[in-house]
Amino acid sequence: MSGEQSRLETIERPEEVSPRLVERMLEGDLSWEEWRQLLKLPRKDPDRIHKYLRALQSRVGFADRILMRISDHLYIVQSPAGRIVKCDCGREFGDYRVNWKLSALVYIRDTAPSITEVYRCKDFAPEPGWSEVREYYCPGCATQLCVEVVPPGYPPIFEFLPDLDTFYRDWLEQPLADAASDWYTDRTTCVTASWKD
Amino acid sequence: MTPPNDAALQEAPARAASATTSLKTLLAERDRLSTDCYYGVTTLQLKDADPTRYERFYSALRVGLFSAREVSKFVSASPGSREMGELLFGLLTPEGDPIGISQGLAGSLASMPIGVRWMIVNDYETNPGIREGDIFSGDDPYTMGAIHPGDCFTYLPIFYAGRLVAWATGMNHIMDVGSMIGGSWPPFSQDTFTDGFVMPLSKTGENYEYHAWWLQVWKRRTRAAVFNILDEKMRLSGCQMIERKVHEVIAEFGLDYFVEGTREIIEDGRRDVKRNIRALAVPGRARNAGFRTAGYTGVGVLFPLADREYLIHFPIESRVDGEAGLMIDTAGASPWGFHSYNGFPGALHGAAYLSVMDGYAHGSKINYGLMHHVQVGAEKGSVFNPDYEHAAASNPWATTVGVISGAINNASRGFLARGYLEECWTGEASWDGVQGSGILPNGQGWGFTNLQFVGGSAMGAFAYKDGLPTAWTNWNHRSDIGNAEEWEYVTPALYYIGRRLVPEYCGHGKFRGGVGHSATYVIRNPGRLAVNRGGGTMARGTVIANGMAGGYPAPGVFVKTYHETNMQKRMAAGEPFPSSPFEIDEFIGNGQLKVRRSTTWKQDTPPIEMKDGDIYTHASGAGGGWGDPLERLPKLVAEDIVNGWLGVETAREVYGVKFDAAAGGEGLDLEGTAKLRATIRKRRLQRGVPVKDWWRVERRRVMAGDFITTVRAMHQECMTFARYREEFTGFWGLEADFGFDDEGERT
Ligand SMILES: [Zn+2]
Repeated sequence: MSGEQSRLETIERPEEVSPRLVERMLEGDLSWEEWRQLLKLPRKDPDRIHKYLRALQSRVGFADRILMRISDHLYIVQSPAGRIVKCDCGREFGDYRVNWKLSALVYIRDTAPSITEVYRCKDFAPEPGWSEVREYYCPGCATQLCVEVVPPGYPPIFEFLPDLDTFYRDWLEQPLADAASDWYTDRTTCVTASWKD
Repeated sequence: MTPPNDAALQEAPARAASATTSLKTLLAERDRLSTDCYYGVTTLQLKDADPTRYERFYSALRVGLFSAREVSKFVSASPGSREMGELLFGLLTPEGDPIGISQGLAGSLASMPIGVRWMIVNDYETNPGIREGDIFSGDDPYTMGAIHPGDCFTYLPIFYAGRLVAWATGMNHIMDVGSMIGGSWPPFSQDTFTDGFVMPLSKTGENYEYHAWWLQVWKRRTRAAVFNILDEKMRLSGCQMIERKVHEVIAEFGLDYFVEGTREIIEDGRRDVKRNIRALAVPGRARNAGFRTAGYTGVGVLFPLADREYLIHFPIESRVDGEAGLMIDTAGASPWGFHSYNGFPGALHGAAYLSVMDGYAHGSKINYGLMHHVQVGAEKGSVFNPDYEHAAASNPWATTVGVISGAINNASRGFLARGYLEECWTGEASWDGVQGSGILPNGQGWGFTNLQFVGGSAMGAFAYKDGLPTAWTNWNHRSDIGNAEEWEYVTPALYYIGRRLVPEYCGHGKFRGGVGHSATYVIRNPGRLAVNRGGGTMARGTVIANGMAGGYPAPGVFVKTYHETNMQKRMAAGEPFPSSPFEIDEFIGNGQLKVRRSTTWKQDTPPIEMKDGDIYTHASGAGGGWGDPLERLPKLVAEDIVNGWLGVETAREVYGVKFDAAAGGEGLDLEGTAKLRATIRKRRLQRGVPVKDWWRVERRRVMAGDFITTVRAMHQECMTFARYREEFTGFWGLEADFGFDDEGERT
């Protein structure tokens, strides 16, 4: 957050968002003034995604091409097994059309003592029975990837299912080699169906 | 002034209708021509011909709207309007489409076209007639799209050379709505007949003057006549300022330019939003959900239909298509019920549009164009689109604010994917409002709403910094909680003894949400007084279900009351008294504060009688977190401890930070922190179970219906809609016609 004074960059036009600035952004190294200038840009730099994907690719320890970042630590990558979700630690979560939470570890807080460990005061802690706190961890690096607070029995929320082919083909004009009509489909229930004994 | 002789205009088809064209004809024409673009405006001719003149035209109208708000609010006596600016003005086309709005309660632009359309379709032009100087007022959610009856609207048709050329409208949130339970968001309302004074648009004045009967109605049918009448006059003053500005603008630019130009402004606004979505979003589907509890058990003596607990569910799915179209869909939400938290489409649309203003409307002209581009979905029969026209709709903002939060978070997923990290944040907000009614010792009856918590919530965390406390509300971009003294002046029995930020009251994360704040009042000389609350998510659940990138969602609202205390004695003796819910606990613990009886509410309070020396305290507006708390810089955690926002235990358990409280500012143990964080990661791997294993166990529980009745009822009721039935039975691998035996009662 606290960039040194000498490294402050002036960003008044979209063209001034340099690849180095995007790298520093990912290093958590921008000052509030720099974030503010980015927020105030009259329009965004349309090639941000290219600078961003390059910077992300050089930061992860794997060679699979990153197609899209979907959370702080999760990416959709092009792997030999197809388009899958992968954590930056290298752990794979399978087909991106399936809610990645299905390949995570989950820890449930459904009692008052366990819920008040994180919502510290009983006056504002979610009520057991009505709500449970689900923490999803990466089985590889133990990072907490998501927290959801839902009534028991509520199907895990599938946060984000991008339509990658439309994005790459129509918006970036760089179609993906394995483009196909069934990539933008939710396959979550196919997996849970296979879990039945 | 420039005569209207613009060259571009000469070439433009003369679409300005003649003075004799009926509004019904105009509306049909508008609908016919507004399919893809707005009103058949395929090219922005005036803008292209002379952009400077075009922008000057828009600015002149916008200045009129801003001035209307900034000046007329001083006509009001309610701090909600005068100080906090809980009002909005709009300039509309003859068909009712917003051309521009002032600052303020921007979501209410969704209501405006609904009200005008209703008047046109119901042939108000013939009866009661629409003439220059006529005033129309109302607050009905069903016919006018008012978010709740507490939002009152005034419409003034603007004529030029004998022809209706526009509408001016003003709205604000009033102090008391004349409901069964006092205040402006009445809880425990089972249908519209207990929602209060609900009025479809009516001609309430002529020649710019209110009819005497209308002011008598405010006096007889609400408990805050002085405030409500002045608010009504405030809205008319603002509308008249807008009317004067429109006359000036037409005199300068000409009528044809006005008609063409306003349609172009709307089309321009539509294109701006579309362009921004294309620039910032990713085609695809993002999801979140919200839950709102409503404890109505016990009301059956009077309202047997409503006598149950509710758990209201609403999914928030944002779908962006290849053409940069955006649909914010709530399909699968709970059916409507006999409770206060249903809303008619105006309420849902207002919330959805607010999320769009936050995410995709920068640098744009905010007007009907945004509404034309963005689709909002609510299934008929659901809580946001009841198929019963007398369903209660006294407090849908309790649920729809979750739609704003969820849709902002959905938008952030696109920003993150495209690398616009500066835009990524957790747009969570809840709200609360103490309200009530009574009779003062001098015999005067009164009703009130304190809007402070509606004026400021904490911001949720950004992807790169913590949220700020009390800095923001999505629904009023000029956020302000008002002065305590102003509120005391108009709520004479409630005296503030503290407004404090609440430690630990946030969603934790690598970056944490801003902490929420509390207000605490001592009751003095109330006469007879019963207070209750209107508000958003209560603390039985969180504001939003799915947190961002490993951060915790923000906790909801709570309310506490303390009765038969020794506060009078302490105050008379000049002794200190507590200023927050946590200090109250301390004062009770060390014996300074004596309390005979207390209540704690994580659901809505019924009216509670308050007597001299009683204390009322509530907390609201916590922000959600972003990212895994174990990744938070230890020095930020240490700063939070030193500043009093975080306890040492939370630092240890949630953030894995070792801090020695005895060492004060020097207490941070970096080496211990590294070890502790490694231990916590190991613990996560040990206690976390593969979701597949959890699914197998949980599925048996689902099949057995082993949940509290209310949760079972929620699942069952939502399964009356195909969207949730498919989701629920599909995920758990159940038969398509799966159901629980004791489905929630709906009669
Ligand atoms: Zn990992």
